[in-house]
Amino acid sequence: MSRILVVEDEPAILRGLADNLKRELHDVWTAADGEAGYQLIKQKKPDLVILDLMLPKLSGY
Amino acid sequence: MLDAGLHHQEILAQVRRTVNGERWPSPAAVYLARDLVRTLDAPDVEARLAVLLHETEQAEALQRNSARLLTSANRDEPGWMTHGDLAWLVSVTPSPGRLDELVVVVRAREALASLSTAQRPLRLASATEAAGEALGESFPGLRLVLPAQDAQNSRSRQAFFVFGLLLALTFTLLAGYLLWRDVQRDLRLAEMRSQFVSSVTHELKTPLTAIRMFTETLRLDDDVDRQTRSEYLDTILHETDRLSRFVDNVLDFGNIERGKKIYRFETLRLDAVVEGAARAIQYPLERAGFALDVAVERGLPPLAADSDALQQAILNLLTNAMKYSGDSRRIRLGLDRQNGDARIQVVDQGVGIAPADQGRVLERFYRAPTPENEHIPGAGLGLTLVAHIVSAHGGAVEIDSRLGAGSTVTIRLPLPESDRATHSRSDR
Repeated sequence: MSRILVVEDEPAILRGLADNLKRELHDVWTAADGEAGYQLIKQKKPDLVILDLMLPKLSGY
Repeated sequence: MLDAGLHHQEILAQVRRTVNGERWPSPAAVYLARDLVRTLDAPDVEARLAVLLHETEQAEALQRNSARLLTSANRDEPGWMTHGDLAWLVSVTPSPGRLDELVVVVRAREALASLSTAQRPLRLASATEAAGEALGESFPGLRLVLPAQDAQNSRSRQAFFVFGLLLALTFTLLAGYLLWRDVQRDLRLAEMRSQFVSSVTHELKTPLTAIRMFTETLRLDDDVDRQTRSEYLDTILHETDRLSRFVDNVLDFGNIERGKKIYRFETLRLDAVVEGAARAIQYPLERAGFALDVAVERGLPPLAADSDALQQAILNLLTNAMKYSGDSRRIRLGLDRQNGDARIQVVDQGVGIAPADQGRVLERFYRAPTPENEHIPGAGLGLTLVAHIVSAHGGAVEIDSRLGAGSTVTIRLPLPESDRATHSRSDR
């Protein structure tokens, strides 16, 4: 079981990824833009970040 | 008459006075005088009359010459005239600046002697070669040369050459500029096109990815509960809608580019179209947390329009409002009547459009080049299609926007005249 953060601005894809990961019994957090994702990385210190590149506010780069 | 040092202008004035004065008999008088010579048997009288006649002829020649000079159409051309047996001549230069000097080439020694000293601005020169213009029978040895004309010619040749060079240079520069501009435009268009292709790919793949993911999940996992299953199916359905809308946009754009877009007009009510668009966008709006205020004025007269196209235009505006809302989550969709036009408005409180970009966002592929926009997917087609659809309906698109304060995009469609009249009657 890992701690995973998904950063993705497309709601459908975000939902699908998160649901599937949860079904694999991981701890999942989600963020819809770069800034929120960055805050969550600092707060939750996830084991893995699945990061989109084209993101509002703060890009994946 | 040939006083040394007499300026040629003064000579001319003197000639004018002579010509205008009635000192000379008319041609009729001359004829009578000739008749008189034959009838009168007096040698003394004949000699006197011959002198008078000769002077008369000279005067008439002068009159012709001066008339030619004074009424000459080409005032820039230097002219000349002669008078009498005396070797004097008058040069007339209507624009004195043109001629630096007038050279009289004298071939006969006696004529040179009679002319004696140089008179300004006449310069006398003796020459053996025949050049210039003969001054007539009275002056067999005198020829008129306009030396300044050669210099003038070479000057005008030079001026012509310089002018030609400048013209060639201007043409070269102009052609260069046009070429440069075309190349720049092509480069810009090529860049826009490549951006377009990459954004089209993105727009196509995103819904496809979602559809595939949810389909796979449903297929692989039998444990998905009823509620989630239904939500997944909804998502697949709406992603398919979104994909269709996008493909429609691209196809329509292609048709418009080729001039092949066909509109199917029918008499319809705008409130139904606007509400249909609101319903179609409801699901993605809710999913993204937006609140859509719909304010539709009832009782607008029906008009001829393409329902699908108009709905597509409104959906494009609503999708734009969603994409460019920034942190705001309020969008207003309105339909009302103003000055005989139906007015469909989509209002957001998002990032807005800079004044410089407002005129360009209707262009194909154009997207306002802000850092924020780089992270917002889009092909730069939505508003181009809106503009085309609206103009096919005889309407206009207006954009009212301030950076950071949101945008209001208005579609104006003219309402039919007769219905307006009917409506205003029923108002009373």
